[in-house]
Amino acid sequence: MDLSAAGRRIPRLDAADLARRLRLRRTGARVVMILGNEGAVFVRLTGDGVAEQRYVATPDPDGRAAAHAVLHADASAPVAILLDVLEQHYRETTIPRVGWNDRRKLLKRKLGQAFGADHVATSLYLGEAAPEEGERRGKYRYFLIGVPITAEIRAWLDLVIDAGNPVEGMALLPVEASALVHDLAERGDTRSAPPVWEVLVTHHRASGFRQIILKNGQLIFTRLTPNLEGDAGVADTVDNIHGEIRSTMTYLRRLGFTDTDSMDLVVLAGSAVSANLDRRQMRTRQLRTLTPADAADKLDLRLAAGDRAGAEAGADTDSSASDDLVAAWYGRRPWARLHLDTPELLRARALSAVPLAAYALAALTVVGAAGYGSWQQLQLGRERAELQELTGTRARLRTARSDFIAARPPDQPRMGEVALVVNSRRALAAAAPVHVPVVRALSRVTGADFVVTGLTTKPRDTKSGLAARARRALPAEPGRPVHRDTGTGDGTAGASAPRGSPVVATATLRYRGDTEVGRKRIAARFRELRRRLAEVLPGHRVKLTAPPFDAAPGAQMKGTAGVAAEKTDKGPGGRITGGYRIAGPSP
Amino acid sequence: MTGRWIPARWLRRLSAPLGVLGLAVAVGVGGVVWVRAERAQVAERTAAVRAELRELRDTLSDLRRRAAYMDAHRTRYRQAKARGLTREQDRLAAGSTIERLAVETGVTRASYTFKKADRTSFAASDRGGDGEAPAFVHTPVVLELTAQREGPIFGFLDALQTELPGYLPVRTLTVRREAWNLDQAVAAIRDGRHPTVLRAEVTLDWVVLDVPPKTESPDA
Repeated sequence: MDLSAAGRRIPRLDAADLARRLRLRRTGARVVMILGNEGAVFVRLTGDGVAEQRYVATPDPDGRAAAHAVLHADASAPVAILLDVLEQHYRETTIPRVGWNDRRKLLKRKLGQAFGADHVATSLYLGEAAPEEGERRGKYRYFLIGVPITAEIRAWLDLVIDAGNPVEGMALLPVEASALVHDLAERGDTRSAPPVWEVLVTHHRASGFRQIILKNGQLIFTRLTPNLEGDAGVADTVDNIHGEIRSTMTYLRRLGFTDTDSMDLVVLAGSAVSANLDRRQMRTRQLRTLTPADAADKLDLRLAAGDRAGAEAGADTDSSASDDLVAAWYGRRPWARLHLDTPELLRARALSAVPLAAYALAALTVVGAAGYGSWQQLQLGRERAELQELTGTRARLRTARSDFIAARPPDQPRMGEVALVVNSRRALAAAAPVHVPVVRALSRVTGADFVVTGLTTKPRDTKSGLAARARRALPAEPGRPVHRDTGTGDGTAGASAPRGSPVVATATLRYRGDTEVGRKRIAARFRELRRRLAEVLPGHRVKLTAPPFDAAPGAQMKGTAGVAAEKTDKGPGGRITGGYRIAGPSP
Repeated sequence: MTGRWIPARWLRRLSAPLGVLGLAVAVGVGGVVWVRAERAQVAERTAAVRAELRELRDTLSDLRRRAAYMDAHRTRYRQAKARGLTREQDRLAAGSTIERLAVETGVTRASYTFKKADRTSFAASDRGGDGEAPAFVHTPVVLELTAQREGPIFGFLDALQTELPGYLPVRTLTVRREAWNLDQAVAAIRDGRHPTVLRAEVTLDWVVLDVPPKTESPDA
């Protein structure tokens, strides 16, 4: 196939690269089956390396028994199938730069168009093509890969599935072994650029001579030539390899290879074959031969003891020498680069994945539940401690309440009644007219010179009665306590006492002092008395309403002289009197 | 080719991991459910205790407030009770008291009139029905007093306010001098007569608080 149009190498980290860079390796038991046109090779791997290898020519009952013997040697060992048949179709295609889902649909349609229903088909991403004129970025390049599932292949797959071992699926040997080319590459200086061309030649008993050609690290071409006849010797094998590589080089030159290009050509063969290989016969300047044992050392793999001994002895009669190496190498890889599964294989693979998924999920569940449960338990502990503290506080408060109630005097009146009486008494005091200050003030200020001859006091508010005013002065709920001290309501309790209802008093005072001082002075004494009354009655208005000698032009003035015609005891007669009006206190 | 059904050996292979998974899920979910249920229970109990604590604190606060109020007003309440603020108005006893005090204080003459009593109920704002509500019972008392000087009149009023049960403020007070010739008055007294020197007209508001016997305040 001509893959010369392969574009520049796109640095893309796929799963295989990731596994290699992370140095992920599988160490458990595994069975790798290399399936070719001439049968299948079963290689059973354990933690110590290759434990057993068996070639089975046909999936007939004897072959099944032989294969099952290998598989059932460790029934829990998963089986990975490497398909290495002649009929493998690779077609390069490009996909426009569309979204992932559209790309998937396009590839599915292209695979359907390219391969028939009897094929299993898949696609391999190759990177971006060189951008066309007017485009900033190139299209996506893919290999459309299809393999016809023949009756023979189906029989082999049934054999594997029926064995009951876990199935890891089927992969294509050329695609997977591309990574082996990288792993076997000579890297004297890790910083040096990899060769443009890399060629790996392996020899498999079930398929034949497999050539894998990479350009710029990407698979562009692969060839498979069948095994020679059973009686072929080392020379025949060497001739065959020479011839095949010559053909390949001729083809590569058509793909653009020149002698100045860097190339790494690796041939995996027994030591006898390796010793007789001649690069001139292959028309190439580069050649590197490795025995499987050398390659295993390089890859840090352990092959079966027979392989190493055979290789060291120079024998090359066992054409499956590469089988163990490829199987051991592939068996240690964590996952395949590209799966190519039939529906039955897919189903078996899914079922095989269930235990691991179940254990992982179980572990995850337990860890998650343990984490969440621990956090919840921590919260629960805190909440319980808080509850305990609250319960203790409750007990203390209950005791305090009981003590409080027990300490109450037994004859204590009900608070509602106390509040009712106290509020009512206060309201009455607030509503009652305040006469006492006026009477007391008069008695304080009169002295020897004045005598009260008439006094009338009455409330300023004469429209409503005391009870109605007191009712208005009550709080909205007279039976509830008012928690501010507004006094006793006695009117004598100081500043906090209610002031009471204002009064209006009219008093008549007679002058009893010395009349010889003159009228002006007597009048002044009446005025002085008004001043003193106002002084001792703060908040009251005191007015001299009837002065004894009102000589003002706007007032009326009377006077009498001489002896009365009849002696009488009614009225003050010619005595000197004054009238006062006292109103207050101010609200 | 293997059919769509799951072969028995696969079921056997899957039974252990699925069993482990089921067990893990059961244990995990069960544990989480248990601890959540425990937390819910604790939260419920905590909420109940908190509510009770609030109630207890309110109760204690109320009790302390009441105690403080009672401490502050107990004396006033007892004084008011002792002054007969909640007693019934007994006009006959009150008349006797007036007559006795007039003699004791030296009032020459005292005449009294108990006017019609009125009742001012607290029903509108405090109690549901008028019959069950407290009320002020108010009786105006009109006094006409004569005396030979001011002292007996004011002494009589003071004594009356002290001895008559209830609250007895003066509404109006009028004092007039009737005799201006003191020599005549002294002579009349020497003759064994009782001349009127001062005349006072006093109106008193006699108020008591009528508390129905089974009345209880909401805070009682």
